[in-house]
Amino acid sequence: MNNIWNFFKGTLVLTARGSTAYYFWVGGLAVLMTLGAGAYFVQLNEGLIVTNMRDQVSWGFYISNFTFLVGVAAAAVLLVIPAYVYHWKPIKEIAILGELLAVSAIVMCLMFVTADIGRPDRFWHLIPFVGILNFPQSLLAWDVVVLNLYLSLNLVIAVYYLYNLYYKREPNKKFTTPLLLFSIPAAISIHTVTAFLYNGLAARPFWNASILAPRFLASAFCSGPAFMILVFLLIRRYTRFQIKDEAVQKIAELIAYAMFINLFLLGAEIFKEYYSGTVHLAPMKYLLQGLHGHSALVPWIWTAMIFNFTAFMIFLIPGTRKNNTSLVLGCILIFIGVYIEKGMGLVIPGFIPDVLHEIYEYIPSGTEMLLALGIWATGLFVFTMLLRVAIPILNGDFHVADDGIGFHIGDNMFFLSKADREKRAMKTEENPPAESSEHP
Amino acid sequence: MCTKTKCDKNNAFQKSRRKVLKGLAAGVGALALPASNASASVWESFFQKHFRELDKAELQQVLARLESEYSKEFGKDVTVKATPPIEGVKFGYGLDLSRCIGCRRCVYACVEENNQSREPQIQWIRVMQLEKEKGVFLDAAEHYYNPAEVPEKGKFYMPVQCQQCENPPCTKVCPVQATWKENDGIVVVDYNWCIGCRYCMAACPYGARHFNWNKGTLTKDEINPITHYLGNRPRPSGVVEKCTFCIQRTREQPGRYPACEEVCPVGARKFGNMLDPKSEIRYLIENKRVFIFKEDLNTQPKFFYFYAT
Amino acid sequence: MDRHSDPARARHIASENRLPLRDPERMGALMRSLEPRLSAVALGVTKDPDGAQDVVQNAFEKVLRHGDKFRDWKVGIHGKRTGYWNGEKQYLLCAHCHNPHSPSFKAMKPMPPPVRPENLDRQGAPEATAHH
Repeated sequence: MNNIWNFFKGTLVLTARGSTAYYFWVGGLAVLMTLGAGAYFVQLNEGLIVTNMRDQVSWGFYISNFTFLVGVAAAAVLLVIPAYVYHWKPIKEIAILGELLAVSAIVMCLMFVTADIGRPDRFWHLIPFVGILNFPQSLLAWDVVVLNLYLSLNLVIAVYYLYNLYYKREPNKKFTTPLLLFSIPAAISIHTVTAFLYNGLAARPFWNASILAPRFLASAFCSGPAFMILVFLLIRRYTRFQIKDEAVQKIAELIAYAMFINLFLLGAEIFKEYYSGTVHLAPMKYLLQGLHGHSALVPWIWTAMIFNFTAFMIFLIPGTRKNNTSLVLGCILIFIGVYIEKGMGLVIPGFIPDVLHEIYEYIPSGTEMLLALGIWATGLFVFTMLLRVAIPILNGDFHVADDGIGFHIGDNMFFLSKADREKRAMKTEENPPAESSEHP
Repeated sequence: MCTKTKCDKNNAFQKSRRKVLKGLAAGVGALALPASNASASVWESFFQKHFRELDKAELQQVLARLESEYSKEFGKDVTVKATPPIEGVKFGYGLDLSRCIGCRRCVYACVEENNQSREPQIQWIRVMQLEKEKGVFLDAAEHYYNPAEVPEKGKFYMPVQCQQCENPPCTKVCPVQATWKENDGIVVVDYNWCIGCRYCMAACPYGARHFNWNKGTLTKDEINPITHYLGNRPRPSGVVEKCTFCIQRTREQPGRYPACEEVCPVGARKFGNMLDPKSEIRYLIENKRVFIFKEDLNTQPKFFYFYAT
Repeated sequence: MDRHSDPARARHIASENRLPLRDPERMGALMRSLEPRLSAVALGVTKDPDGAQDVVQNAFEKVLRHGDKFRDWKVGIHGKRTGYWNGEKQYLLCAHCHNPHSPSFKAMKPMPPPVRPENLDRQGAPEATAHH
């Protein structure tokens, strides 16, 4: 017991101390989280009428974000597959970071769903055996099950792994490997279930297409890993944690394939709707061209298309893929592109025109955007905290003390300022340390 | 299916689960002392089980609690019934498109009878103005028509409300089974169980389901005090509602016509028991040109549009 | 009796079609010109359509040639009914809704259109009811 308490004390020390940049980052997130909480309070008091959702467009910004983030969470598996199935060492060491991203993303998903439902006080109705969960008929019930399962799975694996490293013990492969292998179908399942949620609705022809589940997976495998590449580059720059170029490049390659499939499937959808030219063309027309004078989403979707295609070229061409600047640009473009395409670009056209062909043009209200921002800040906060503990453990900088009870923190200036890095670089020239330093 | 041992085990489990929930409600209610009746009922309402799980005594308790809440809120005697379906009845509805003139009296009669919020406005019936030349072609539908007089030349009118489908897409998707189809064919919602996720609204092809985006307004003068638990009782914020074929009227013995049917000045609306060979609805299904709205979706509505002439 | 099924309302509907209901002399003359015995029954809501049937059938066959509408009316498909779907019903007779000299149903002012979703949260405001 004492050990666990000391471990927690150690994590508190780690998360409480850092560079100026770290304080600014965390402080900024805390401010956004508070604003988001305020927006949620307003929504709880006045009801969902403070959003711009109405009967005609009954799901909006919250569910758009939810859908996108389920994809990000699923993409953690992209790191696990090569690592454990193909025994690819360069990725093996960083797969844990992908799982921590999955945990943060799922936390955000759960928060978005809670923000969206009309009676959050009745959440217990969803708990199997306590309430009534309409499993297996309702796809939402499936989503509740698989999302929580995936969250628990990733938490268990990550915590177990890191906790053992903290104790300088080798994690038991017989425990971790089956769980890690199981997380592959689990990741695919969360996103397939979320896709089926939309797919199964005959009332909404924009979603009632078999291509939806494959498209979801393809776009998920673009957005999540792109975010991870950005995180890896940051970690490489600011800490002693080593991430090999090969690992980053392999992930970038896989993103290129995923984006190709995404673009191809999108092309297939566009062909089908425009060539057949049935009344079901209307939502796609609304999205890409505007419908009966309504075109709020048109500039957004074309921005997303341009971003996606540009990013695809960046990831495809080895030259731009290897260059760090263009790589970073590609990751940012793809993340934003998929966010738009799979968020508002997927959910809203399902409702425009509505089932009686009415057009209500939905744009999120201020409260919705503030609350969504607060939830994103919460997710980033959770991810920051998890990394703040995980990286020192993986580095060997945070482990149990020699007495076997207390904790030891080596390099606790985890997030170095430019001046500190230069100082350290000078020191390295004079006294090369035992471990090699980070890449340029 | 439920084998004997499985059913028994399930029953035993359900009994113990009921005991736990009852205990929780009582315990937390007791903890709320010295509380006014209001907070005790808040806890009771929080822990209230699904309508279909309530036994007779619990149901009476719930109805009594609701009656006292509503009566207090509206300052008049409100009754809440839970009349079960009548045996051997499957309701059907007919709508004569050759007669409807689009006057919308059905919309407002429904609002009055079923205690819908006036502000923000909720209307269970939506009348579409369509063009005779194009037939039932929704792209040319006008929902907000407001000419000096109806019917307008060259137009016809199609009211849409819950079709009480035999194969409802909405009941399939509800994650907590807050909406289901009863034996007389009416698709109902337990307003105290619904979590407001609005998945059923996305699933409904007829736009028949409506959401309480906030508490809504209903005054003492506006409220119809004769209500049904699954029908027209005042709804809380954050739950879904829809047409229930005036369940508070139609399930009585003898059962009254729904409000929309009664108020229609041209007699375009027909209602009855489809299992009764002598009913109006059977006659029109057997003898008139009947069609189903969005038939290709296989929802099997019990709402039949027809042309009498 | 509830507001949807009382005779006064039926008469109101008829009056919307400009039958001279309030003028018994003129009304009587009109009815007599159709069928001598129709007048006695046509001025009230009857609970027994069969009794009025012969009268009405004659009228239809002699003057109006609307046998199919008559058959529909008998089974309740044509025309308005109130009351109980499995019990006592109230029927209306032809003259309650149709002026025999101008039988087609008269147009009426529709009740207001629904509030548009973009105006749902500001229904009371004057600009909410402005035309789009």
